[in-house]
Amino acid sequence: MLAKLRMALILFIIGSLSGLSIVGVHRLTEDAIAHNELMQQYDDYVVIFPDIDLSDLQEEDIDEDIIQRRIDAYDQNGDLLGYIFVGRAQGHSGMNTILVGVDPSADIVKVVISATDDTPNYAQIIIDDYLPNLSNQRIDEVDYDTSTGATNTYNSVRTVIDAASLHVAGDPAMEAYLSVFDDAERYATNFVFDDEALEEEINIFNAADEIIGYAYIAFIDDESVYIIFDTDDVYQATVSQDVDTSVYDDDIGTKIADIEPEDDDLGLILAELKDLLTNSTRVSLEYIARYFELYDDEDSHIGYTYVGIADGFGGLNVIDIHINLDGELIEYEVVRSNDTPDYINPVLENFEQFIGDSSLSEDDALADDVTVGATRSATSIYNIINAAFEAHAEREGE
Amino acid sequence: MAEKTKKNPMKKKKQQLGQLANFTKGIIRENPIFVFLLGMCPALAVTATLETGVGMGILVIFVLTASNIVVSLIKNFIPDEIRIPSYIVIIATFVTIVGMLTQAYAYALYQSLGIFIPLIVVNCLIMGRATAYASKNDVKSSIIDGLGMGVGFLAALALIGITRELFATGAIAYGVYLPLPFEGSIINTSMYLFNMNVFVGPAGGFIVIGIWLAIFNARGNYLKKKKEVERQAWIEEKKKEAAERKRKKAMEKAGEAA
Amino acid sequence: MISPTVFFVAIVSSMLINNVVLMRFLGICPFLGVSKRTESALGMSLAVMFVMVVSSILTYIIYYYILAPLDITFISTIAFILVIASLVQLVELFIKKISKKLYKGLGIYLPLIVTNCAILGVVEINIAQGYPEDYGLFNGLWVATTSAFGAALGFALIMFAFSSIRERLEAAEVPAAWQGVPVSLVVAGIMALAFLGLGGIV
Repeated sequence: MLAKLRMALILFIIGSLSGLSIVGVHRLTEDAIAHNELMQQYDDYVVIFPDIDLSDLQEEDIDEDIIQRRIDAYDQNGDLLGYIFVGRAQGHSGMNTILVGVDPSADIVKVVISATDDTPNYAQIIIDDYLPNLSNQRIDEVDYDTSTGATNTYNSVRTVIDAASLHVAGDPAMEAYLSVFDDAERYATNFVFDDEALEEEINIFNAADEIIGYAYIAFIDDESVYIIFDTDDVYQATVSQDVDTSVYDDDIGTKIADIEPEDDDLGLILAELKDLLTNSTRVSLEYIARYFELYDDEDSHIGYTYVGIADGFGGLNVIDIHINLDGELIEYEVVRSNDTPDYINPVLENFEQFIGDSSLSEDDALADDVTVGATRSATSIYNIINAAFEAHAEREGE
Repeated sequence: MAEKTKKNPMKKKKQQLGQLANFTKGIIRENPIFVFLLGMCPALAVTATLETGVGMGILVIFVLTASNIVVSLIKNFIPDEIRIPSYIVIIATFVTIVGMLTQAYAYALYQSLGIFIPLIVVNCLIMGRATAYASKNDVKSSIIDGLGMGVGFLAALALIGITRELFATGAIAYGVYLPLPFEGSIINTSMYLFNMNVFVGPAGGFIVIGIWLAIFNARGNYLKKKKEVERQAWIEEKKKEAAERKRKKAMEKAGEAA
Repeated sequence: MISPTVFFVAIVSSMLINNVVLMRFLGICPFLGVSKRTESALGMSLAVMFVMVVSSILTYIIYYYILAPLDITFISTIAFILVIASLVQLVELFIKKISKKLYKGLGIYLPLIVTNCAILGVVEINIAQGYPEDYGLFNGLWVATTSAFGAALGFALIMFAFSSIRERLEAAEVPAAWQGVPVSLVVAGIMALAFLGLGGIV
């Protein structure tokens, strides 16, 4: 018993002595370790901007999914060197922490992988061979290498750069809308055209979420052109980087119906828009973008065509829904769909049962035996036709 | 030399080792890595460059010497039953202290060694010396034994590190991981095109150590053979001497008889 | 809830991609020392697996529920090695009590495990991974445990494969200087090269 007590005492003494000495050394080294850990973070900043003044760092927490913070880097004279974005993205095995250095003119200075669990050899390939290529490219137009041999690691870099670019270069579309509407707050795609030149119809919202205008995105010479109208279809501006739009400057403040387009690239698009806007009426429903009046061969008004748009399986489905004056479904027509034909065709056939009806029954429309394997195709068509009935009822009410 | 070979080489081991010999034995004759195969994990893991190997060597020298001192100091107070746990606590204490000091004053080294700093605790070399030597000898010789073994360990890591770094990068850099006031490279062949990255990786580690072990084995075999030859020569000589003596005695006897 | 793929990835990556022996250089001593016979290699692996998984759970709890809240993580190394050492003692006693046969099979390997750096290494790696950051405090425990199990599987796989290779090496004609450990190390190097190729799985 005594021997056991003695052993316990000895172990206790050894334990306490060891504890004491460890705590002592901990006290001694605590500050130096904290300093080192901080400096390690800053080390990467110095790698990006060698002239950075570490005593004058301005950090801003961003707290998005990918980008965590932004650091404004100044040199000793207080001149802005650029920004460092700290981001986290999924790599090969776990999250990678990546730093993107950008100069004030939005060119990438350097990209640094500051923490990674990826296989060192693969991470090294990216660090040695591919990260240097990114330097001096504009952050929003980076030319990425396609095959790197360490795709996951490279993709994490790519994700962080793309996320950072939104913070640097701003959004050209938003800038265009802001140049016309000072109170523009956000925008959303209303319709996607199945057209070579004309790309998208955009709703522009103010802070109160009211639509304050529309924009049409078109491509002229591979260049995005933003043609902007207010809610009364009055032409406001055409914003573009290189395309000359001065010919139409006189038309600013004119309704689209009164504009006489010239025979140039922009004119052709304006003519198309004029045709579209004068013949159709906008609808602000989730699945219906606009409607046209529908005439038969003898030019008598027989109903309306509602243009529907919804997400299908392979992308957007655009479907024209024809409804007669009595509110009955006459016909539907797929304008554009990337869904697998074998799946969407039976679904389309299933909707034939509703021709002549003025409402949809959800049970029949989305019956399991039809929609099996094509749920998204079926739901998108169901939503569109349903919305078309709704839009029709709304129009009747006016 | 001529005198030495006349002594019985077999008897040499039994001679009391001088302090200098006690120190140098760890470097080649009882090298912990190449002869005893102790501490192979760090020998493989942290020898991608010379500097990390040397850094690990320095840490091990410190822990080994310190734990040898303490173990030898308290050897009379520790009952046999709690020897191992006490030693574990002592070694772990020193490892923790060394770890913290490295983290504070050689951060780059701390980062590159990573988990292999806490793993010094389970380095068989340290536990082995504590139980096999320090617990049976006085403080002074324990210190010398610790230093000698530690230097032997460091030398082995350095040798492996040099080999791997040279093949992998074509240069030997300094000042990158160790907190030296200067940095640069000792050797720089500038043959970037012929760099063999495989030597940085695990495969290179295994193969380089295998090759060095084979070289040490070859040397050992050679020495053994040489000793054998020497012993044979010595036996022959003794035989000759004995025969000579016999002949002399016979002659003397014959002379007396005459 | 964490998705099952997290566990699958944890097992595959700690078993094959970051194999403890070939990629992380842990547990080299038993790898070179014990793996001469397939049977003892398997016995050793089984003992390691048990201690590795249990000590991984215990140390995770100790680190995140005791040391971290008290802000004394700097003593983690001592705490971990004591946990492992006492765990091994306990296991030894336990096995001795319940089955003489099992004790005969596993018992001799247990004392060796205390100084097997694979155990402490995997435990330290698990803590260094910082699972709570990605999965939350409690869920991280399961990921850490799965990783430890995967690592143990990887250890067993290599021990088994290597002991089989060694059995054939015995019969091979190896130059005198290369006999024993040197040739084993070169073989291990070639195995490590092969394992590099698994890098792209997950």
